[in-house]
Order: sequence, then C-alpha cells, then structure tokens
Amino acid sequence: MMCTAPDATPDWKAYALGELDAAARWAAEAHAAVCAGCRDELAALRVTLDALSVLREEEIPRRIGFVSDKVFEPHWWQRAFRLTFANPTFSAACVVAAAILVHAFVRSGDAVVQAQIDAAVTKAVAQVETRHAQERAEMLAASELMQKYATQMYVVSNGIVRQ
Amino acid sequence: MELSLAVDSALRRLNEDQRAAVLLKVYQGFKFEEMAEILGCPVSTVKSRLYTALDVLKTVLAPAVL
Repeated sequence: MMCTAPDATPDWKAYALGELDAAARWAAEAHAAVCAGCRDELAALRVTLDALSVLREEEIPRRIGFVSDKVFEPHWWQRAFRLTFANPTFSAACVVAAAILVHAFVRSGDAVVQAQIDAAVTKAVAQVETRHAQERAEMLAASELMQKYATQMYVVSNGIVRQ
Repeated sequence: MELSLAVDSALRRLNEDQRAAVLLKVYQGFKFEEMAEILGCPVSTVKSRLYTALDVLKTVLAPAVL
C-alpha cells in the first residue's frame, strides 16, 4: 500500500534508525497514525532491523568485511597498545623497570640518611678525640708537676743543694 | 539459526560499501555524521548506501510485510 501523501512522507528509514529529532519523530508518528501505507513501510523496516539484530549477539561475520576496509583498520593508538601494554613481555619489562626505579628512589633516600649518620658519627668521634687529647694533656701536666714536687722534696730531705 | 542464515544471505546481496554502512549503523550504532567521517565520504553518500541496502534487505527479510 502506498503513502496517501507522497509529498509529505516522513523519512522512515531515518526514523527506524533513530536519526530523527524529537519534533520530526512526533510528526512522523502523527503521519503514520493516519497513513496505512506508511505503517506498512515502518513495519517492514522494523522486521528487517529486528532480523538483522539476531546477528548482534553473535560475532559480526568477518567475511562480510575485509581487513583492508577502513571500518576494521585499527587506530594508531590501538596498534601501539597491542604492541606495548597488550604484550606480556613489554608489560613485564615495564613492571621490572618500575621496580628498579622505585628501588633506586628508596635507596637514594637511604643514602641521604646514611650521609647524615656518617656526619654525626664523624663529629662525635672528633669531639671524643679532642676530649681525650685534652685529658691526656692535663694528666701529663699533672704528672710533670708531681714529678717536680717529688724532686724538690728529695732535694730538701737529703740536703742536696744544686750548684 | 535459520534467521541467522537468512540474514547472512541477505547481507551477501549487498556490495562492500553497503555492507560497511549497515555494519556501522545497525551493529555499531554510529550516527550518519560519524559514519561519514569513518568512511571518508559525505553524509548524503552514507545515507544513499544505507537506504539502498535497507531496501534490498527489506525485500529479503520482510517480504510478507511488503
């Protein structure tokens, strides 16, 4: 059955494919309500699209397309992803590299702490050595003084007079 | 299963450009403008290919309705 108003026939294919805006959709539905021919056309399109949808759940048959088709040509980032992060070897290498970097970073922190410890130890050792040297000097001075007094006492007690 | 074969057979009747248009629209859900960008042709060409393909598919898959 033909449309009763061929000049005002809505674009039923665009309607069935969801390409019409709300206003055009409303106008098309209003037309279909009064036009049996358009209702048949719309029903046929729906049956067709419903039939096509049975393949939606299945993998799209590759034989109806060709690898050379632009449709199936992967984007540059898809190719890059497949060659890199989708590759187990590359992913493993990335993990190892990341571990090495993290380890190096942590070790660099340890080195700073170790340098601070070394500086503190060096300072403490220097302070101890200075204190020991001072104590040795004081003991030596005290020893010399005692020896001097002992010599004077020996001289006095024995009546020795130095010429 | 029979319907799948019928659909497969109907799609074989289309040329490559028409099949690509059907795949992008019906199975991938792209808009006309997106399809034109993907296929590298004007929107009018996309619509022409798709509408012609739908006419062919309709005669095969919905003959009883017509």
